[in-house]
Amino acid sequence: MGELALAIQSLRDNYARVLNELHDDYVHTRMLWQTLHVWVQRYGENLTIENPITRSSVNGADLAGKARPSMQRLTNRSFKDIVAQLELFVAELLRLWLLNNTELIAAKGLNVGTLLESQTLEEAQDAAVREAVESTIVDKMLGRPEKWFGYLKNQLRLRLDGRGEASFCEMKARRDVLEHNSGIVNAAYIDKAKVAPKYKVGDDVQLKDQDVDEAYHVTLHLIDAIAASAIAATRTR
Amino acid sequence: MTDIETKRRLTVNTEGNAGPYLMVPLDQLPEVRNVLQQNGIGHVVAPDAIGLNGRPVIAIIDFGRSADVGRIQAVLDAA
Repeated sequence: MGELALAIQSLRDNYARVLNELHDDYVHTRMLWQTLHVWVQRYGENLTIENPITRSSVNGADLAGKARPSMQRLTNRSFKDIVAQLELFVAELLRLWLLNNTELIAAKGLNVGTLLESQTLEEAQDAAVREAVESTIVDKMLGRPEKWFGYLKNQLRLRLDGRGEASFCEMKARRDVLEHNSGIVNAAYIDKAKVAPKYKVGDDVQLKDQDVDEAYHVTLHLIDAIAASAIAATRTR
Repeated sequence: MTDIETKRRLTVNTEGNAGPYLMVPLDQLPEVRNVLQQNGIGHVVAPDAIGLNGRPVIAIIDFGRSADVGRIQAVLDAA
């Protein structure tokens, strides 16, 4: 396996580990809340927790009352964090790929300021490549997921099963609704979710445990598929 | 219905804003779910069941925010 292929494999492994950590954190935190909830609500046990910064104090019953809304926030946050990993992975993969395939950025314009700040030709070339790589990543990643997938299909001969891609586009659209529209489905969601919308305009998105599990499986599946395509493409370029 | 551990009436809880729920010993879960299903009451069993200090493992049944708490309680009381 060549150097670039090894770097891509390492990147894939890092993101798989991050996904596992995010899902573990979700399950462990959920279990802690459930345990506290049962302990206090069912068995009448008590405790007092004081926040040394705000000096606020809360007893077991009040804390147990926060368990369910906190678990809902945890579910939403875990879903959003897991979905975000694909975008981060693709950006890092593109950085690796473009730095090793500089012909793909040859058409990028040069920043005169960068040239003037450089002391040597080699330094200027390195700076120009870095700038071109970063601007290409920004250009590709600013759009919707189908734009990233299109670029990857074109550059890496990426082949995805339609279900994984469609599921991810819907999850990313759902993530945007939770992040930017207080969880209320709007027309932008319907447009972004393409062929796989799960809600209609006006619906209130209420995530469940299965949504976090699905986000984990779909994101990991896509990271695996993209990494495998990229590694295969290193052999043919 | 009576909780097989506490010997008290099974009571739907409503605190918080995540919708009504029920805590029930895992051994009693099939019986409770059967009653709910027979009466067309939608519900989801939380994936985690908690056992503390050798006590019965407790499952949590969620009914969703729009659930009719009065009807659910009436069905459980009548069972």
